Amino acid sequence: MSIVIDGLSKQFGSFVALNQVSLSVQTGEFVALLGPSGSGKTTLLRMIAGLEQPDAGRIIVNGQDTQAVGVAQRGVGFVFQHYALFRHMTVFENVAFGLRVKPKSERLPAAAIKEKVMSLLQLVQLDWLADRFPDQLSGGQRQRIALARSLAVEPKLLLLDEPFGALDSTIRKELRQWLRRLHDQLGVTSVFVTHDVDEAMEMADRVAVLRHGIIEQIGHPDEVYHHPANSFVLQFIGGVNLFHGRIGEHGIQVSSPASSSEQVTAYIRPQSVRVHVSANGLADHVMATIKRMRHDGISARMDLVTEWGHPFEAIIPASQVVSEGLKVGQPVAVTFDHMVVGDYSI
Amino acid sequence: MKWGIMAIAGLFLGLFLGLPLALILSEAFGKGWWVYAQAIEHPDTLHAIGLTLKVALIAVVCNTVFGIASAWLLTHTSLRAKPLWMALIDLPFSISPVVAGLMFVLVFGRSGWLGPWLLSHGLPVIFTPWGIGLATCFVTLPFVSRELIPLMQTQGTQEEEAATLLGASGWQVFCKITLPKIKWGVLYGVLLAAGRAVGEFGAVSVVSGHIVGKTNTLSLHIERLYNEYQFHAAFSVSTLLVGIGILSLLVHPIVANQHRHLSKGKTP
Repeated sequence: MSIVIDGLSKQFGSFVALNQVSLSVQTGEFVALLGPSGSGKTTLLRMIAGLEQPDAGRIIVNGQDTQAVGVAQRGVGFVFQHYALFRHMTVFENVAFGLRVKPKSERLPAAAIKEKVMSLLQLVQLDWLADRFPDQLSGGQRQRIALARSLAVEPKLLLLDEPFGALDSTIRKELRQWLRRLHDQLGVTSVFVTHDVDEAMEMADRVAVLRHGIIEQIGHPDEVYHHPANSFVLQFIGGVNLFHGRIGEHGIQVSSPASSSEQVTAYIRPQSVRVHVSANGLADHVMATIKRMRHDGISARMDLVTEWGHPFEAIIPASQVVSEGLKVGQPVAVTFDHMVVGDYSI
Repeated sequence: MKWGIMAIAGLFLGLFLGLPLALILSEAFGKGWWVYAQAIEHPDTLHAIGLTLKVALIAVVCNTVFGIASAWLLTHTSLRAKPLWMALIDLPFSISPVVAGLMFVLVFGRSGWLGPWLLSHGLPVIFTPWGIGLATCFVTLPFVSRELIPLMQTQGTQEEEAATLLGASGWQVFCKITLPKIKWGVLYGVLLAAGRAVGEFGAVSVVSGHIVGKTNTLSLHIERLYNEYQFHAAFSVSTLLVGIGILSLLVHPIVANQHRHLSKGKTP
């Protein structure tokens, strides 16, 4: 099922939630709506579901304008951020709900409903929880039940609002891969909302970056990462260091505040910063001092400051910190793998 | 210090709650079971019990339906008149029941706005059980909706949205999702309203006309017995109201506990 969103606008009082947003999603695609809070991503998702009415613009699903189609008739699966499981029903009844409320003529016989619900619970690997109530489940389990419930009605379109927002980071990483595999297995067109850059980059076929109700960029995760459309996208995706420099003989020379008129701004991601214990054998480098360091086992984030007092950030493998014995206060030589030069002011 | 405060609180409790309760019981049973039973079995008393229960039932049913409907409207729709509506719901709490009674007399009485018209259609309201029912409905109007509005506000509408997205119709959502979600809140409001309905005196006193065997509720009956110097009978009948009070005290914690449990929990 393909979606074409055309010039969608929505205002809540004086707050502009969406401003002329256009976007299209291909059949079977997995698209992330990424942005800081208040960027309009959830409003956009709720509008696709029909839970919110646009002030202007159209949503066309499979070539048909959805304006006149009621929420209950849209055949959309929706997973809420806080799951919205029916608290007075068991897990089984929750998943069966969509099948049981169908008009008698379309409703499956009880035995078939039971079979279908159990197979969905097996799909999310929680069939052993069928008789529990939602408040007896962990966050990750509720999340998967909510997903099973939305899949019960065989939606042609699956919408997920911050699907992992309320979970702790370990379970989040685990569920990300699981959900992506499930998507590939079912092939249902999916759109999910997130403010977590890693989550969007890891899971989505395409990422739409939103800010202030506008889509700043849409594209493949690599494209958004390496060719950001503007400074907002650049800074939002993965963070960035700003350096001022001059265009020299051997490319950009990042150095102490340049007075020349040919001054340029270089954007360097923390991951592109290489840290060396000594400057020996390095052609172009910058001397800096480590000010602060934080480990998470895999990588180390460090705050550094250049000789001329310009602060910047680096992310290096944690193993390097151990093997080279890097310490706070230590002077180091720094090189840059990759930088983006240009004027990104908007 | 601790003992001093406890003594003050204990004395207060004993003086204002324990002593009257003991007095009611001792006066009621002071002349033995026989006198007690006679007072209760008196046809006037039996009629008063029946009338009180009937009126309470009508008031509670009406206000439960109204309470659920108004709480739903206030929390599930974007009504413009919300503050006005809330203020109107609170009105019975803020005006004296006697004034409420007088108000009904002015509207439905023999020389009131609607009274003559209703009377000509054979439907007298004032000085009949209808009037009592009306007055009781009025004074118990806020209980159910006051309980439900904050409850439904904290519960939010996500479960309803989820149900709608799964294909449920408006009524299916209401019956299968909304009602089960709020049932303990409804029960709590019903309990409060029923307690008030049974014990209501002021408003009912104005509209009833005190016709023994016709429009005398339990509270009015007790007053009459007392004014006629039938102290033992008055206290005997009082034990019935005390009994209802104690019964609701016993049920309250259970319902209140469930109710609090639900209104606290976010959507699972």
